[in-house]
This record gives sequence, structure tokens and C-alpha cells, in this order.
Amino acid sequence: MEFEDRTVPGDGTFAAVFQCPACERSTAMLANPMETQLVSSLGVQVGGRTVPEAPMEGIRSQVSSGRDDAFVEPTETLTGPVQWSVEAVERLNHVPSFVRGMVKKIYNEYAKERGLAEMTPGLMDRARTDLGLEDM
Amino acid sequence: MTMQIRTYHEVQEHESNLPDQMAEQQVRVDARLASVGNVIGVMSGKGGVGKSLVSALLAAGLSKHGLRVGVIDADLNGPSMPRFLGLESCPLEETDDGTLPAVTKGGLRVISMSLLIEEDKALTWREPIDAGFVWRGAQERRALREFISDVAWGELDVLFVDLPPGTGRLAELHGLVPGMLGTITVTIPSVASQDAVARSLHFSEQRGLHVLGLVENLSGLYEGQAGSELAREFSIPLLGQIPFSPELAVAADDGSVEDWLDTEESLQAEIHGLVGAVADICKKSATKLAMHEGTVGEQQVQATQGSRERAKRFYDRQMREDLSSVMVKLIAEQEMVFVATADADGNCDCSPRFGTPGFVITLDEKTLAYPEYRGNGVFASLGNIIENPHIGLVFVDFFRTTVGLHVNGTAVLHPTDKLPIALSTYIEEEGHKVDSKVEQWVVITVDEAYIHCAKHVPRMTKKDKRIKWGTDDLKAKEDNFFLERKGAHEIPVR
Repeated sequence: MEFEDRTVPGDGTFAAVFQCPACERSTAMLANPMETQLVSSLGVQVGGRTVPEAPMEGIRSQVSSGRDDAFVEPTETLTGPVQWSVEAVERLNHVPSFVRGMVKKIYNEYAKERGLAEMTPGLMDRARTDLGLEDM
Repeated sequence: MTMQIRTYHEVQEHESNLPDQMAEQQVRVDARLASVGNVIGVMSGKGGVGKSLVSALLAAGLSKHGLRVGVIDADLNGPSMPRFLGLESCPLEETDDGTLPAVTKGGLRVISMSLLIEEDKALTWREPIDAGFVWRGAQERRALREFISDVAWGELDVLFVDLPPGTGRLAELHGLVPGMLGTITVTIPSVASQDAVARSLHFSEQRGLHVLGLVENLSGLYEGQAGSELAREFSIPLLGQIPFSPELAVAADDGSVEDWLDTEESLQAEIHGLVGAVADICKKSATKLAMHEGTVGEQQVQATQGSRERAKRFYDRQMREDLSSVMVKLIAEQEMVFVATADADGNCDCSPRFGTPGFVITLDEKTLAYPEYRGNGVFASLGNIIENPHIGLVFVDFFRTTVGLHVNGTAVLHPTDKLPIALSTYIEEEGHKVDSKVEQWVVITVDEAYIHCAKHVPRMTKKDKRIKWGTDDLKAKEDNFFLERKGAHEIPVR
């Protein structure tokens, strides 16, 4: 069996899908919220990391009482090699400011690694699935 | 039918590499701390003893001593450092190198959960309300790790980690930073505090953590003598005793601890004494640091063999940059020392030297001297020393303790008529008998000294043998043993 996919539906659970390369039969391993959260709290990603761990990723993604003005928003992320469409910026603004800078950085890294010049809501959806950010 | 089940470790897990991801986290911690001289935990087994205020005073005081100082407020659920240091509202800037710490007007670099969470709100995690206990420990450890590795600390002489009461966070810190310099433990004079702090000191001992010293806060406010009694019980220095000061309490509340250190208050003598003691510890550690990292070659082999942590423990525990009184005593009892030297190209030579007990003289804790008797005229060791002053000595106490002592340093040769004053004074004042056959003295400045453990050293019994120091008598020399001549190796046992 080979690792095939990872799904984080956003309800605190987690599914890892494995597939047999010979018969293509798939098996999913379902983890309950406790198991999922324990893995998450260790700062590791099942299926491997596709982008490096962002600074303070654990604190920013797991703390629920973070203050909105904790971080000065970096300006370079909207003016760097990846251009953000108006719709993408609008959607990003719905992300709580405590994690916004980090999320923006992750999306930018994702686009840069794939040689994509523009961030759009569709690309954000793809990145969320590929990077396992469904719960962020 | 036999069912075959593979264990977890027999499954090749290509994609996740969770152990590698965990190892990468530790690499980030190590990389960040490469520019940090010392990590010191400030701890107590007891809450409410003023640990965070002591941390703030030490950090601000050392900064005024010219040291570059950072503070991690590791009390995630009860952070107070920003209040003491006037940093209550201070947004953090993100850079490619990590999150920049908040900086006080005195230059202290600080990270604290109170800079990140909403004012007057508790630290809460995204978790089901009734099951967070399962992973909260892992979350908090991760937060501590991120405070260390993800903050762009820059070059620091010392990074204080202000720990919450108890020992749990200390264990996490030590796990992340096994090479930390040690802990400063804070108590108040009360018996209740003494009990709790004693437990935390036992914990430190069990983990092999170096307790740098004890601070007694609120001295005189209680009947007890917890500071002096704990210091005596655990053989650790009492670094300072701080009486209660209403002015300091006000300064802590209004965020002006740094300014308070410049006031004329009578308490300043105690605080400056405490800060001076910790500054000395940091400075001594800076000298020892290079020694305690080992050579590049040592580090490579340690990495290959997975012994880096074991080696660090040895360096921290055993290596000194001077001679202790026990080492001096052992040297004074020895009649033999192995001497290793190398020429300018690194070609080595190892040769024993002998004398009556005490022939290697300790002039002070950093200086040794031994005589060179007339020998075969080759001068292999002395020839090396004039090309390359590095020298390694090994004393082995075969007859009593079976312990060995390594002393490495640099050597200088002195003809008998041009001895350094310290040596000539020693010879004169101590009535040290110098044989006329001594041709040179080797004077060694000690760089490092450490034990060679006894486990493989045989215990020997000394037999009588009459030795004529520096003699040219052919019968006494018996130097034909390895020559290809009949009977040459049949030297009678004397």
C-alpha cells in the first residue's frame, strides 16, 4: 500500500488514504479528533511537509485567544513575485489577523514552488487541500 | 494458518517521515541557538516566589553589564515579563529569519505569550472543551520550541528562560536544549517554599542539570532560612538575598524595572551583587564554551556515533580550564606522567617522564612545571615544544585511586639558569630539591583538565627499584632491549 491522499474535513478528524499499486484498491485510515490533534500539536504533517514550517506556526494556528494586533503584517507578501487578485485579497481578509500573515506566506510559498504568478481563490482552494490547511 | 503481522518499524513509510520532521524541528532549535552563548532557566518548585521579577532584574542587570540578553517568558498561562519590562502592547514584526522579539528601551529582547494573546484573556487552544488534556502538553512544548527556534534572537550572550512553577516546563526546556548552562532557582525564606524548591532541586540533580545557584527573594519577610539551608543541603552557591522593596514592587507593576536599577535605593547593593555573580558565571562560561564544544573532528565523530549529548554532558560536568585542589593533590603524588607533543607539522610523540613524588610542580591552578633530566640527547619532546607549544599530559594513579588526569595546555622551555620568578621562588621557598642533572624546565599553562575514569586502569603494587636520576651508567640504562642482538631482550627484572 502506498500513501495516496490526506483529508482534513475541518471537524477535527483526519483521514489518510492508502492505495495498493497493483490492484488500485484503496483503504482509508480514519483518526479521531484526539489522534488528529495530537499529531498536529507535534508540528508534523502526515503525508510529509510540502512547505517548510512557518515561524510560530503552531501558536498561530492552534491558539484561539490570539490578539488581532499581535503581528505587524508584512508588506512584501502582497508585492512579491506572486500577485494577489482582488478576490483573493478579499478572501484573505476574512482570515483572522492573528494567523493572516502566516497563511499569506504559506500561499505565496505554494505558488512560488509551482511557478504560478497569480494567487486566486481557486488556487487558494487547491493549496488548502494540498497542504492540509482545511482547518485553518 | 499462521498470520504474519508486520510491526510499525517494519513498514517503510516513504511519505510522512515523521521522525525526520521531528528531527528537523530540533535542527531549527540548534541552528537558532548557535548564536546564543548561554541558555539559563530561572525556576522554582513553588509559585509566587518572585521568579519572573528575579528574571527581569537579572536580564536588565546583565544588559547594563554590557551583555546581550534575551528573555523567553515560558510561563505560557501566566505571563508577566512584558509588564515588568514595559512591553505590554508591542506588535511583533515578521521577517524571513523569523519573528522579531519585542525590544525594551534598554535593549532586552523578549518573547512572551502575553504579547500574542488578547489582553485579560486566558491562553486557550483550538480544542474540544472536554478533551484538551490529551494534547495540551504537546501544544505547550511546541509553543516553547517555537519561542526558541522561530524568534530571530540574533547574537546573544545569554538567553534567560523564565519557567512557570513546578518542573514540567524545565524538563521540556532541557529536552530541547540539552546543552543549556543550567538553572537559577528562586525561593523565599518560608519552610513551605523550602520543601517545594528542594523537590525541584532534586529533579535538577536527577536530570544532570547544573544548578548555577540559588536566589532568596523576600529575605527577612519570613522566619525561615530556606536560601542558606537549601544552598548548604545541595552544595550550591547562594547567589543573592533580596529583601522586600515597596519601590521595586511599584517599578515592577508600572513596567520600569530597567529604570529602577539606576535608582539610589538601598536594595541596589544586593541586586548588583546578584547580577555581578551571574555575570561572572556567564563570562566564565564564555571561556569554557569553546572548550565544551569540542573540536570539529570530535563533533563529527560524535554526530556519527550519536554521542553528542553524552559528550556534552561530559564536557559540562568534567572539563575545567584550571586545576582543582583534588587534581593538584593527585599530581603531587605522582612519580610518572605521559607527555604528548607534536612538531609544527603535527607529527606526534608521546614520552613518559619520571621523578620522585611531586616532581611535577603546581605553581598555581593554571601553571605546572616539570624538570627535564639528561637523557639520550635526542630531545624529541623539547624539539617539538619549540616548534609547537601545545602539550598533553596524562597522569595515571596506578597505585591508589586508579584514576587518570588529562591536562592539556601550552609549554615553554626554561634553562635552569633562567627560571621564571614563580618557579625559582617556589623552589627556594618550598626547599624543593633539584637534581644537578636537570637540564631544562618545562612550564605549562593549563588550558583544560579532565578526568580519565578508573574503570579500565589496573591497580599496581610498587616494587623496590633503586633509581639514579640522570645517570649515564650503561648498566642502569639497559637500552639494548629492542636491538637485534643475541640476548639483548633478556634484561633481568630489577
